[in-house]
Amino acid sequence: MGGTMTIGNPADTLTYVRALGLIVGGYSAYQRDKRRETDVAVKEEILRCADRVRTHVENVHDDAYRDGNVKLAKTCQSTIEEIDALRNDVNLGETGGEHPFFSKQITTSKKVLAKLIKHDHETMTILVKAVNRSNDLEKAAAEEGDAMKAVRETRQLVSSVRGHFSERRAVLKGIQ
Amino acid sequence: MAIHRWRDTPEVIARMIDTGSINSWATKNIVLKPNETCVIMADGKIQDILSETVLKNYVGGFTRWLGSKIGVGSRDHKMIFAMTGPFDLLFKMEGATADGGRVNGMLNMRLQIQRDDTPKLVNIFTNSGRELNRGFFVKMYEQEIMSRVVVPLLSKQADINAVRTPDFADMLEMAVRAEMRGSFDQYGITMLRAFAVVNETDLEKLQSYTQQTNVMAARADLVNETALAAIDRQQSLTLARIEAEANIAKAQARGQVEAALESELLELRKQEAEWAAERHDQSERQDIELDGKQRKMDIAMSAFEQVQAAKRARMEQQSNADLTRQQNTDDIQREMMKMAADNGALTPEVMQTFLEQQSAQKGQPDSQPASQETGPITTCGNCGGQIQLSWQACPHCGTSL
Repeated sequence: MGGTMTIGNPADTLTYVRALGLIVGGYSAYQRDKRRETDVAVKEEILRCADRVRTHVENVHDDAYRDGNVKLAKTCQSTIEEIDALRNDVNLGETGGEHPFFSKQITTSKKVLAKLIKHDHETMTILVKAVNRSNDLEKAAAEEGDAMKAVRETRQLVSSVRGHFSERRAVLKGIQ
Repeated sequence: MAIHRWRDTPEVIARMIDTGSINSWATKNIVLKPNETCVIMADGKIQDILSETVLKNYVGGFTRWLGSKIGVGSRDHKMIFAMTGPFDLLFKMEGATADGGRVNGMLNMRLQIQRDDTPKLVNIFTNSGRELNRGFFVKMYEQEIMSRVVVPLLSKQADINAVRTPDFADMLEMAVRAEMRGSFDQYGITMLRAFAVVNETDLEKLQSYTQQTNVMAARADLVNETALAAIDRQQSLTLARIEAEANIAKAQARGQVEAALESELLELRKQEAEWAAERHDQSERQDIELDGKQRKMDIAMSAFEQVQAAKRARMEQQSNADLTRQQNTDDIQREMMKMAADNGALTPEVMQTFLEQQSAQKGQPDSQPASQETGPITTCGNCGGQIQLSWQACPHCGTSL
């Protein structure tokens, strides 16, 4: 994910901004006067993706329950709980103020904004993987594939998203 | 600036209001917290879903009231407020297990209205009032949950113990999630958790009561046994004391009796000695008398013996005389036989007669026994001689009889 990459020039974030623009509708890359809207848009996109994952897992859960596959249903249930926890984290995450952005005491630099864009991109990338894996999960369940493995991988990806999103707060607090 | 509060009690989950229904002279702000959302509907359309913001001067005020009167602005402007945080509902749970045991309890469900799902609450407002509280949701879903989830699931459980297992808790949550998902989605509600709290059943109460009764009975038994043991111990001690006292009394009595008996024994021995002396004296006297009688008896016996000896001598002398006489007779008869033989007259009849005479001579000294042998007498048919009936042949003629 380019963890060692230093983003000093806003041009370096162009790739990420474009990528996020493809995922998040109306993504403004934390432009002045649109920083809060951008933050809300990222969060809403995370929530939407989480909902999609949840729907897929719920479908598998319901089928597993009706088929008597309690083990798979239980795993789906724990995955759903993980998604609910992610939604709760995102819903109640701090949104910052109008001005200055995210902190009343410190100002925002382009460097930190670039770091935030990169972090959002990484979060969304993992989340997209989770969505794709949940889609594979439902397909595997329908085709008698290894649904258990797929649901566990989905849960792992959701947990990764949750953990990665929790780092966002640290990134925001690091804004100087 | 005044703030309009859309709810004043935690029981309220959602509410729909007409902005025109808020009448006040001054306009009011509406503050939406992170766990609150507001759906704005104007002219039948859902315009926006808001959260974490302040709707400034959004409701109330004279100018807004005036505008509504003169037809300025939206005629139909509604706001749906909802709490997007998790809220718990308690459903009364009733059913029966497979063994017929009644199960009563509470089903706790944790639900949530997602921000994007808030407009779906319109489906509820269409058929009910403008305020939705927990009681409303319980009433709305209670029967469905009971009939689709609780009763079927309980009927599969063997007994009340199965209802208390973690497996049942998992199955219940799965069943609620699977069976109620469609109904919840229809009104924009998301189920987070579900679990059952089962009350104590009648059977368990009975078992508990039985256990308590057993404990009380056991305690009573223990108390009774302890009391009985104490009584037994007391009784044993009393008996031991009585026995000891009795033994002492017996020993004392035995001592007194022994002393009296010894005294009496001494008297008896003394008397016995006296009687022994008397008996000895009498015995001596009797011995003396018996000696005298014995002496007389011996004299008599000696005389008797002498008489007997004289008798035996006389009989022996007589016997010798008889033998001599017989010897003489035999000699005479032998000479007569010899003379008859010489003369040729020794016939069998003569010989027989001779023998008979000799026999008669021999039996003469003991004539009495011979006469005893003589039977009835008859005559021989051949010779006419006298014969006895018991004879086998005639001694006179030798004819067989």
